[in-house]
Parts: sequence; C-alpha cells; structure tokens
Amino acid sequence: MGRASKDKRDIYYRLAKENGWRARSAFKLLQINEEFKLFDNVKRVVDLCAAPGSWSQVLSRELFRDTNDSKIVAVDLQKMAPLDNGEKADLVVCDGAPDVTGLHDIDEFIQAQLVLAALNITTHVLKTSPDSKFVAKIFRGKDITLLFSQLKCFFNKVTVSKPRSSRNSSIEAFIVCEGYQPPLDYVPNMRNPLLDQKYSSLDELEGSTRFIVPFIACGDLNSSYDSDKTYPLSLDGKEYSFHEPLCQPISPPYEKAKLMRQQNQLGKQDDEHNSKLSDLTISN
Amino acid sequence: MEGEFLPLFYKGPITSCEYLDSEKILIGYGPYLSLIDESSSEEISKFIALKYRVIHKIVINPTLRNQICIFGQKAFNLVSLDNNIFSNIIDQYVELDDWILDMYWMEDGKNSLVAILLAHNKCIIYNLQTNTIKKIIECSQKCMLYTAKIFNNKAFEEEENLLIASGTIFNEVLIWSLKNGTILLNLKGHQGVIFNIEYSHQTNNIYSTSDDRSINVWKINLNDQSGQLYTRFYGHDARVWKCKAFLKDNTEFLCSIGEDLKCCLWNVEDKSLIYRLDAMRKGSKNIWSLAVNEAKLQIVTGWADGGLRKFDLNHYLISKEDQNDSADKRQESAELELNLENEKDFIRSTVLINSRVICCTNLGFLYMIDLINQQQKLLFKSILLSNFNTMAKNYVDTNHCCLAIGSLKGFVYLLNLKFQDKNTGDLITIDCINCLGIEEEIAESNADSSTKFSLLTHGSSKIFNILWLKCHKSSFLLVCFSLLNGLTHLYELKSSKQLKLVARLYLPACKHRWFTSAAIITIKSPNVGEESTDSENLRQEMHLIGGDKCGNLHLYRLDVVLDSSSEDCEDNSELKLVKPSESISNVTKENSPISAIYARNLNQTDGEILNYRIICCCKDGFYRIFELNSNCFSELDAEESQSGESEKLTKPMAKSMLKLINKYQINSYIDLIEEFIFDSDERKEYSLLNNVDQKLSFWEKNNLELSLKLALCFYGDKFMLWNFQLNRALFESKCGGANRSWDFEFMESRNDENLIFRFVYVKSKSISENRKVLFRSEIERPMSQTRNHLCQIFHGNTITINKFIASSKYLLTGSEDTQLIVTKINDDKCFNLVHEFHLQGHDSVIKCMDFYPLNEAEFLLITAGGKANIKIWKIIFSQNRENIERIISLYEFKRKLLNGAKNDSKSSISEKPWLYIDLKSNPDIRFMDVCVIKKDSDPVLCFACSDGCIRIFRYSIETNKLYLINKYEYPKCLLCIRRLTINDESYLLAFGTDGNLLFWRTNSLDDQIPQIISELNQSGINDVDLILLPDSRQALVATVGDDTCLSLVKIEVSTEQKVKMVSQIVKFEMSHASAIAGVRFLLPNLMATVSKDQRLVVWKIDLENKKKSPVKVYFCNVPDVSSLDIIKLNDGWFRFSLVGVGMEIIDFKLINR
Repeated sequence: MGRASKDKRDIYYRLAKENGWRARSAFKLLQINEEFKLFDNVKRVVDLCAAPGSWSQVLSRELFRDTNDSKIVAVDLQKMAPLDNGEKADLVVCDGAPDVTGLHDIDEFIQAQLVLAALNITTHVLKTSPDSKFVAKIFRGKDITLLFSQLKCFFNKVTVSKPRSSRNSSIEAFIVCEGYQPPLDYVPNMRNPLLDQKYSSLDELEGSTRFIVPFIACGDLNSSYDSDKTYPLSLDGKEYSFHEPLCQPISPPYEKAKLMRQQNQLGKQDDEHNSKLSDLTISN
Repeated sequence: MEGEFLPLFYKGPITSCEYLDSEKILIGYGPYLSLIDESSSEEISKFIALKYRVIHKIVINPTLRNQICIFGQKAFNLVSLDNNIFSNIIDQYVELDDWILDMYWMEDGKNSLVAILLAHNKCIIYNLQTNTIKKIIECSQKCMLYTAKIFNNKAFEEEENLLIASGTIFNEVLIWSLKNGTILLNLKGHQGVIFNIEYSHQTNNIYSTSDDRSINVWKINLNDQSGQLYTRFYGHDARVWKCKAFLKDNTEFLCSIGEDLKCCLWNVEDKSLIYRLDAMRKGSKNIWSLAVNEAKLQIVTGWADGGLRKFDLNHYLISKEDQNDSADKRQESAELELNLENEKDFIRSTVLINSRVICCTNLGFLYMIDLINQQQKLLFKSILLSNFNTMAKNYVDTNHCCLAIGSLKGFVYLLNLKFQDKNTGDLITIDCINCLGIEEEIAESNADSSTKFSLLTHGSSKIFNILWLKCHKSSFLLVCFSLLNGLTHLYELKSSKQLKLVARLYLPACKHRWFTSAAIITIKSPNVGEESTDSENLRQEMHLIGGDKCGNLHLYRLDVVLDSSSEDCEDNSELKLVKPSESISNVTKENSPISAIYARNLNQTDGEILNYRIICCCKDGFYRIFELNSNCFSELDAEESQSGESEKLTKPMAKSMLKLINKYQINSYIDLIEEFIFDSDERKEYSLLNNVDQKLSFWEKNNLELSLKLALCFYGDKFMLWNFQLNRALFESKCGGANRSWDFEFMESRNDENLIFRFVYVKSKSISENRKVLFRSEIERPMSQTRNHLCQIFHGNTITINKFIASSKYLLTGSEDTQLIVTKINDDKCFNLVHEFHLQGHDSVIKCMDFYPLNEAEFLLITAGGKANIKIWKIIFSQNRENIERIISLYEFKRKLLNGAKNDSKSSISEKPWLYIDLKSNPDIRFMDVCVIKKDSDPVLCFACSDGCIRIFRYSIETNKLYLINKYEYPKCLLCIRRLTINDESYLLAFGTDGNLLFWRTNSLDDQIPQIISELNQSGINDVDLILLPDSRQALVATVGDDTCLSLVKIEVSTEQKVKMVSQIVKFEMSHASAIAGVRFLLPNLMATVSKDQRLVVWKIDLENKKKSPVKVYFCNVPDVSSLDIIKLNDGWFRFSLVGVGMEIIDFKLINR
C-alpha cells in the first residue's frame, strides 16, 4: 500500500515518472504520432493549453532530434495571440480539458467549446496545406457528431483516435484533423467564438443521418503497454523502485480552503486580520 | 421492418428542483419534469418536458405560477401546470445555438418576453408569443461562463433595467447591464471557476460559489457602481455547487451545497456558519440541486443517486434571544429537586421508568420522583448500594418493569415495579425479590407490599455492569462481576420473581474486563444424529454475542434449553464455563467500548436457516454491521460431530461466523453512538412509537437500512436524538457529555397526539431533566416513502453492470458504490420498481456477475470486481418461483482481511493458500468478467482478470470452498468471458483489450492453449453476445468496443473440437459515434447495441451481404452507459435494461407491416 499503489494501478503513470515525462499524457501524443506521423516535415508547432507541459516535452524531444530550426510555441489558451511575422504553423495540438463537474452534458459541452476555441485560434495560425494537422482532446458523448461535422468543414480528413495509453473505459479520445482547408468564404475572426453545429432535425437525434468519423486505435498493439492491465511491480524482471512525480499542481484553487481545513478553521469567520493565511488573501 | 420503443422507467440525477408552493415541489431529472407532493415526496405527475436533454433549471413565472419555463443544455420549453397536469404551451422546444445558463420572466404585462442568458456571455430577449428573438445583447467582455444570474434592482422591469451577474471561468463576477452590454462592476476575489451566482433583492447582495470551495458575499451598490466583498464563507471540503439566500425575521441566511455532500447553513449578518448538514447520504457521488422554501423554512436537495432529500431548517434557525431562553420552544429543561436526608449525600445514578425518575444516591438511598404530582418517595435504602451502583431496567410489560441494581460489594438487587395504570398517578407495587435469602430492612412506605428483596451473588467482587437481554418472551440478566477471572453470569428471569443461573461465561482478558453490551440469538437446528425432521426435535440453540469495554466482540454458544414449561431446578453450580466460540478483537477505534448490540434476523420465517445482522453501536462514533450466518452454525455442528479427538486440528479451521460487512457513521461530528431504536421495535418501552396502521412489507421490515429509526448519541458535550429517516437531530441537550448516568423515555402527550421525549441526566451530582414535544410526523416513517422511487435508496455512483434474474421481474445491478441491488419490477397494473435487496460486502467496484441454477427454486449468484473480490450468494425463490424469498451470502474472497481478525486470517490462509499465493504477486487485480459452467456436480467459475489471466475455479458446494483448477496467462487485460454450449459440449470464449477472441474447450481446460481469432475489434472488446444458429452446430458471435465497431463472426466447432470460422469477420465500423458498451441479440438477424453516444439501436443484420440497417433508434437518457441486458417478454416484446449514470428500462417490439 501507500505511495506505490498508484504505480500498481496505472502503468502509464508509472512509466511517465520513470521516463521523465511531466504527465502520462506524453505517451498519448507519442502513440498518435506513431499512427499519423504528426511530426514528419514539421517545423512550426503550436501547443495550446500547454500546462503541465508533457506534450511540449514530447514536441521538443521529437522536433529537435535532427534539426535546430524548429519552433514550438506553447501557450495557455486564454492568452493566445496570433503568431508574429506571419509564419504559420504546420501542426497545432491541444490536450486541454476542463475540471470535470460530473454532469456529463456540461462536461462534454465545455470540452467541445475548448476544442472550438482551439480551432478558432488554429484558423489563424495553421498553414492551409494538405499536410497541416490539428490534434485535440475530445469527450465522445451524445453530441460529439456536431463537433465532428464542424471540424469537417475545415479539414480534408477527420479521424478519431484512441491511443492505447488511454484507458478503454474512459470517454476521452483524440481528434486528428488533417489538411487544413477552410471554407472559401471563411474569414478568421477572434471576436466571435465558433459554436458547434445544431441538429438540423430530430431525425439526427434518433435517426441514422448523424455524421460519424472513422476510428483508429493508435500505438503498437504488441509493443505498447496495456493501460487497462494490472502489471506486477517488477516489470521485465527489473526490480521496482519508486519515483516521485515530476511536478505537483501549482497553486490549485482550493489551496486556501485546504489550509483552513488543516488548521481547523473551516466554518469559522474568515477574519483576515488575525489569520495566518493573510499571504493567501484576496488581491483586489 | 419497423420497431417500436416503449420507455418504461428512468432514474437519474435530480439536476433541478424548485418549490411551486409549500405543498408541491417541481423537480427535473433527465428530460422529465415532475410534480412532487412535499409531505410524502410522492410523484403526482410527470412529463417529458425536454426530450433528448437534461433539465438544468426550472423557472416559474412569478405572476402566473402555472406557467413554468424549463431549460437545459441549448433548449428551453414552456409548460403549463393545471390541476396537477402538465401540458406544452409552445408546440416545439426552442433550440438555441448556445448553452442556456439563466432565464428571467419579464413583466411586460403580457407575459410574453423572457430574457435568456447564454454561456458565451450573451443575452437574448425572446418573444414567446411570436416565437422569435427580439433582441441580442452581448457583454463587452467575451468569455465562457459556468453560471449567470439575470436580475433587476429597479421597481419597473423593463429590459433596460435588467442586470446580469456572470461568473466567468477566469474567477470573476461581472455585473453588466442589458442596456448596452457594458460592465458596471468586476468583482474579483475567487481563486477558481465560479459555479453559481445568486442575488437578493432585499439586501442587494450577490452570492457566488466557486471551485476554490468558498462562497463570497458581495455588497453591491449600482448607484455609485461600487461593489465590495462583504464576507467569505469557507465551510465546504470540496467545490461549492449551489447556494440560495433567504430571509427570516429580516435576517438573511444562506444555504449552500457542495461536492463534499454537505449542506451548510450560514447566517449572513453574523458572517457565521450555523450548521453543517453532514453525510446526509452515504455512498452518493454528488448533490446537484437546491431549493429553499422561505415560508416553510425548508430546503430540498436533488441528488446524483436520483433521490430527493428535504431538511427542515426551523430547528437550526432560532434567533439569538430565543436561544438564551431555551434551545427550542418545544423544549423545556428543569433541575429536579430532591430532598436528601444527608446533606453530604448526592445522586449517583438515575433511570426513567413509566414517567418516574428513579435515582440512587451515594449513600444508598433509592428514591422515586413522580413527575406528575412532583412527589418524592424513598423506595428503600441499603448501605450496600453506597459509593457505587449500576442500574438496568427491563420492561416485562408496559406497566411492569424489572429494575436490577448492581453494587460495589457484589450484590444485585432486583425490584419489580408494577404500575396499575400507565398514565394516572396511581399507586404502584414494588416487589423486591430475594433469591438467596439474605434480608435487609426495607423502606417503610412499602411496608404493606411484599417485603422481600434479593441479593444474588455473594458479595465479593464489584458488579461492573449488569445488562438485561431479551430473547422472544424471555428476559435474561447478564452480571459482570469478576475482573480477575473474566467470569460473567447469565440468569434467566423466571416468572418475574426468580432468577435462574443458566450460563457461566468466560470473558477473555482485557484491560476493562466486562461486557458493555450483549444480545441473544436463538436458532432452531435439527438434533444431530436424528433423522426425524419433526419440529419437536428441532433444538433451540442459543448464542450470546457480547461486546466488552475494550471494543472486542465475543460469540458464545450456550447450552441452554429454551423451554418455559419445565421448571426443573438443577444444581447450577455444575454449569460448565463457556468460552467464546469466536472472538473479534479491536472492533472499534482506539479500543472504544461497544455500547449496544442488536441482532436482526433478516429472514421472514423461523426456519432453520437464519441470516442475522449484528449491529454494534460503538463509542467511536461508528456503527458496525456484522453478518452471522446460520450456514456457519450447521457447518460447525458437522465438524464437531465428526470427532472429539481431532478438535485441536479442526479448531483453527473453524469457519468464521461473524463477518464485518461494513461500518457507518451517522454523521461525521457524532463522537459516540449509544443506542438504536428500530421501526416496529419489539421492546415494550418503544411500543408507542410504532404506528399501528402502517403495514410494512416483509422486506421493509427486514431491510436494515430502512429499519433504523432513531439513534441516541453524543457529540462534544451534547446528547442528541437522531432520526435516520429525516436525517436530522430531533432533540439536543447540553448535558456535559456522555460520561454520566443518563436515561430517556418517550411519553404520550396528554393533550394531543404528540409525544414527549424526556431526557434525564446527572450533572454536578444532581438530576436535570430536558423534555421536548415531538410531533408524530417526526417519529413516524413517512407513509409511502419506501415505495416511492425518489425516496428509495439506490446506487449513489455509476452503475457498472446489470442483469435480469431468471425472469423479467428481477433485475440485479452492481455499481462503483460497491453495492449490489436486487430490484423487483412490478408491471401488472402500473410500472414501478422496488429495490428489495441491498447486498453489501464488496470492497470495490462490482464488475461482473453470473448465475448458476442449483434447482428450480435456488440459484447461485457469483459477483466479483475490484480489489480481487469474489462473493458467492444463494438466491432462494418462493414456492411458486415468483418471488425471491431471500438471498444468503455463502462465500467471499477478499484481498484485504477483515479488521483485526488475527486468528481468522490464519484459518483463511490455510483454507485457500493457492489464492493467496496466486494473488500475492499482484493483489490489485480486478475481476473483469465471470461466467459459470457446469462440470460434474459443482459449478466451475471462469474469471477474466485485469492481469491478463483466465482463472478457473471449482466451487465445492459441499465444503463452500473455491479450488483453483487452472490459470492461463495472456499478455493483455481480458475484458469479457462467455460460455458456449454446442452439442452438449461447452466451450469458453474470452475477449481482450487487443480485440482478440480466445477459445477453449472446457473439457480439456487443464493444459490447452487457446485458439485465437484475432482483431475482431481494433481495441478493447466491451461486450459480447452469442446466439446459436438454427442448425445448432454454429454460433454467431457479436463483439463491440471502443472503436465504434460492431463485429460479427460465425463459428463452428469441428469434429476435432477446434473452432472454425465459418464466415469472415464482418465489421460494421462507425456503428455509433462513441464507444459501444453493450450488444445483445434479439434474433439471429436482429440485434441491439448501446453506446456512450446515448443511442440504443436495434439493427437488422444481413450477414451474407455484410449489410446492416437500423430498425429503430432510441435516444437514451443515461450518460456513460456501461451495461445492457435484454429479456424476452410475451407477444413479441423484448425488455431492455441499460445502466450507467442512472438506469433506464425500455420495451421494444417489432412491427411487421
């Protein structure tokens, strides 16, 4: 029990720590790349919603392998501005996800909005080319077909992919859009958000006319680890040793509430004068 | 080919609620808008108000309260409610292109305009009469919102005056005007996303709840455009979802609900937390909606488990002035005056008997205070009672109580108190009996009555404790007197005058070596060695389960013949000293004492098979439930009868009879639990609590969770009477804590129907009393609660698996909340579900289940899942095979051993060493799927495991043990396993995360390498179904997975028992938009799939031409669907049951035109 228990449950969590990745999601990008050759002939990449940075880690390892003239821009979605000097990107990736509430419809909606916001930025920064690509995390819920058809308006080919490092039961998948080709009359506009499409008729809700895109499972079946499998702690005959996680969450929203709980201050008046927590109080 | 779906039942999270008035509540769950009767929580009517969507909010028109606007996701609808019937006002739901966050009825005189706020910080004014958008106003700041509130703070409600408070994902509250979209105020202070905003007209306060677990109260002034943080409330341990403000006597209060399942009540003026309603529902994952009724001072909350829970706030909202006077208007307190003969004397202990306080002083005076006429009476005095005494009362009848008093010098007095009439102040008879013939002076006041009293033991050791135990009609007195030898005597009370020693118990050594609680259990078992099954030959076997002061539990098997007719007087000194047959040490935390033990028989009949639940109230704030199974008794009998010689060998092998099922808290702040009172409690003193009119069904009476009615407990320096069904305290008294003599009583009120609760305690060497009027409604179980699906306890977390049991009448569900629930489906007259059996005992998620018929009326049920748990149950149907009579837990394997069961663990290891060795290397495996096949006479259990193994066990019905027959290792996690029988030969099929099928012949399981059919799916196979084809040598296999593909392959078993693919694999890719979770055949050419895209599709399959076409699509309301099952009904109907976050039952029929 104890600190090794998460290592036992989740092979990729453990492998990420052992391989120096900031998060297990690094494997997801690597496995998508195995299938879609994302990084071939890619010089310029934008990583949206970069924190905690494992995708940027993958990008820098992969892109600077043979060359030095690549460029990676890693930003958080909210502060994104169009890239300078007019040079456009070959690849835009977005691994962002909101904190899920547990209400599936809201979570799916927020995730779709995040993808659409990323798409909106993408329309400003991605090269119009049959080789340019956009990769984003999606939740495949009840209205996912609306997002599929919106994305299909901008790309030649849209595929859903699921890396083997993503659990079988999880609702998460990745959309891989290839060949950026916006509609002829489309003018990129940061002022107005892109919205997902509406069902054009009720037939789409209980009919067979929904827009579904192909699915590809990524990651080599034989060589990659199975994220659903329970592995023993000693792998391939090697002895197990515990690794600390590379990064802990930086100032989570609940930091103060947690501290107050530890000091048994919950439910007491939040008096800022005599509180030891004054360093955490509100900035106005 | 066409088909028809008939939705029958849906249960899912209650995502919205609102009071229509103080008698009726509107709730929204899934697409359903439902009208609820406040008092009974009964559903008056329901209506699909937002098809395909989830209702997130209900907004009642403030001027025309029968007009209700409901919205959720991107759609809204307008509904009218007349004579409790819902109907649509507009023809179609209005679908907008953005998520709706709030809605506001505008007073334009015609009730035709509503303001609607959208998630991209945009507001539209919608004309309901013309069905058009009148105006769109955008906020100058573009941002995503989780919440927003439309409000006005001027007298006239024109759209110019409307204001919006938007809670952004960047932790800000923006106040902006609908006039032009300009931001008037930007309230900064939260450290996380804002989830809810409320506004109060009266105080001009804005309330915001956030991811940072706080609630901010902002005072805004729009005249000078200022806003400041008034206070910040921290009280939740997780995200705060919702809050609601209300006024009482011009004081503003606030209610908040959070992910921590707590409901906090705040006084805004004082900036203080009044109360935290805590642990209201164990096991539920979340709480989603909240509504307040200001007039009634009541809140209602909607939960993730589909339950609705109400709380009366009146109790907590006593204004300060009242508080100083008394805690409650219905509650009085008084100090009882007692004139003691000696000034230095003081009161040591007290009990309440039939409205009289009996108390014993330090100098050994026993007084009775008659509360009705305030008379004090000395019952008797004895030097033997001085300095220490312990009292215990036992109601022989409603007007006859037997009081036992234990003393320092080892004497026990027994007093019979007989009352002529319970309610009048009539004289009572006090009858002291004496077994041993030592006589002493008795008080003069009772000189006319029988002047005998009893001293039971030869005074030597202190009487540490005395306990009355009831068993059927007999009463027993347990006397703990020997600290050194652990000797305890059990007496039977004969004819209320005589005590007969029936057993001498040995209590194993511990620091405080006496019992603090005990219960007696009887079972009828056939006499060993006698063939006859006459009922006369059934032996009444008695067991005693006792808890000691150090938190250890001991089970004794007593050699007592329970027979009231025989008055044989044997020489009791010959009684053998009984040692515990089983002990569980350290049941409680930090060796806290066990304060009470109750044994509840869960089975209806007094047959030979009993299934007891032992409930232990513990002084560490928990109550623990143990299972005591009579199968264990019979097994023990068999072992004992084998031989006396091998006793030493068989002893450590003796099966554990007591199993801890679970421990619970009533409420996290309760420090210690003293006593429970049950529904239909058989104890005489609680008879007035039972509602005579109410007829409880068998399962209602025997459902342990439902039968818990009241608890007596302490927290801090307070005593509390807790009502389980109302989930709140009925009575509190600041008595100074538990470490004192105290007692309580229920009395009928003289004036009305109500009850009076009395609590007496000794504080500062004198007696204080608190009494409170309790309304009948506070005591009696709400009439129809258990039949009502909104009140029935169901799964609180995602349901992972469901299966019909033998017929369309019973459905079994297993969940991440570790519970198994057997639901009875009644569809004779109207369709309703009753969750009849709650099977507990799993430590982690339940992943799989299968059945094995033993005979026509009995089934084995095998359930397994996370933390390597396996449980085997027996389901017993009634004679007519219509109803399930009972379910017994037979066997269990768990990775973790039971709390503190040291000797038990040894025996377990010796029993199943292979399991431990096998799983030692990796005990975290999950059993993903199970199927049972018949081999010889015993069932064989085949498990697909998360470590890639197929483990095959033989379950010996005779020995109730599992034997590992075989284990096969595969490199990938295995998700599904199925049996296939062709030509009386059975085969095993397993399916992995790599999309492969593994095939074995079960006859040669021992060392056979499976045949593999690869790549049915690209990734994990979530579900499989098989159907035998008409020629019966071939079977059709259907698999579904995350890859949205439905794959079909026809297989045949060749003469050399090899599997042969008759057809190529036919893959129907992109059958759904998301992972497919379930597949079932209706016919060989008709099948159904269900996916996480929330569609249930019935397909017509043409395998030859590799074509499929949808017959009918049903949009299901259950998100995250994880399991589908189907059963064939009459007249061409099929019944689907699907589970995930909620449950839905739908019938389907083909229509041939």
